[in-house]
Amino acid sequence: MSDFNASDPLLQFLDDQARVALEDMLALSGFSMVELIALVEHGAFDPEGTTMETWTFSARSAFVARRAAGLRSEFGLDTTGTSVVFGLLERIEELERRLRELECQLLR
Amino acid sequence: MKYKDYYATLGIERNASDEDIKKAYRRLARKYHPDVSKEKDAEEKFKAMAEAYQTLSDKEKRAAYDQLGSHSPGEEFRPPPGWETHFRPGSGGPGSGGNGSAADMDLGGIDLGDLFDMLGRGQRGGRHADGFAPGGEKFAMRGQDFEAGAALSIEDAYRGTELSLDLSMPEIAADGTLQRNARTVRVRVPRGATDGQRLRVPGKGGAGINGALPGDLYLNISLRPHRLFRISGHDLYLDLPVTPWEAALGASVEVPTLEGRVAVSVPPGSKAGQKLRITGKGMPRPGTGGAGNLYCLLNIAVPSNPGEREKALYKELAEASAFNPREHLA
Repeated sequence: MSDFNASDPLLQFLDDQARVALEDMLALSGFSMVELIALVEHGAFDPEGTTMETWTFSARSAFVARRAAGLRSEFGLDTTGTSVVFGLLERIEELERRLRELECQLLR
Repeated sequence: MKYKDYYATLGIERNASDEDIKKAYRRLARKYHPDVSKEKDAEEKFKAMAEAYQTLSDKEKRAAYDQLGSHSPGEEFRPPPGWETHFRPGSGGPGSGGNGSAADMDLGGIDLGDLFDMLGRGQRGGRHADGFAPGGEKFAMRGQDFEAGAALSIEDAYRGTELSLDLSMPEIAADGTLQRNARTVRVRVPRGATDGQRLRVPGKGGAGINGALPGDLYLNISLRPHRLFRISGHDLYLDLPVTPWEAALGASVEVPTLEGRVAVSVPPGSKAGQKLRITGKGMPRPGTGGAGNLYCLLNIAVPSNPGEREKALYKELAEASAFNPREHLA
């Protein structure tokens, strides 16, 4: 088995540590710029960076946002509803992560 | 191309109002949405109704769908001549440009949902699915992004691996025809992938149109269960059985890791469920040079069929010891 330490630098793991720029966030989530700004104003996302040009988001939140964007379209949610859905999805994801972690620590 | 009865999927009549369509969709979405439903086959049912709703809730798409006539679900059919003019008003219909009339396309391998989705994508951009703007000028459109699942063994994730994925992608060819293409995509997964991560593979999504960049491929990584190790993030967990005397007196025991066996010291007075950490023997953390830890969970194993000598020694120990583990329950 070969070792892929020196892999393609363009490949990127999108996980808790990875940050994505605004352009990637829009492409990954499916939200429009107007919707994303409204959601930031609602406190759904808390990007790092002082101006929009320098905003970065956690890559994990981009995929949660993608599910929230799907639910928004599928149920016709407004910005407040989408913001609440995003918060609940994040919470579910965190609880599932914690559950997996604790299950690993149970003796079989 | 096989016919799908979108009205029957949503449980409505062909003359249903926009409001009826929306109500039917919302009622079914609440029942079958994979994020909120516990129904069996919810995901498949939801995909079918979402596809039906995307077409019927859009006036132009619904009119185009109605033009296809009424067929039995699954029946092979072809769109009538001039059908695609619903998506390119003023184009003059078939024969005017020869740029892939839907009636002329090879639609054998195409799903009806793909057709509406691709035609809709062209329309939303103010352009047409055949790669021509209304004035006949060519435009460029970035290829679609795709998602695919990749189930890896823990060993492959640890070392890095190369995957060969057979994907089926709906794409618009250079001549403007819509095709579902089978593609084999080879992806190098760097070492240190872990459960629940996504790997972005640039340029391995759908082909771009008229020289535009291709889309990206997103791999949703999952790790298959392992005989010995469980994984949480970059940490590994291993059940480590020890004897009562090893737990009481302490011992050095050998444990497996993903890169060979190492000796671990069980401290005297160890308890069941206690974690022993072996630093840096978990999964590598890409880009940092570090790695997670391996945690050994102590399990105090007792022989199920002790011999006579062992029984005698246990009895002797019971008489000699004043240890009471249930003192706090008294």
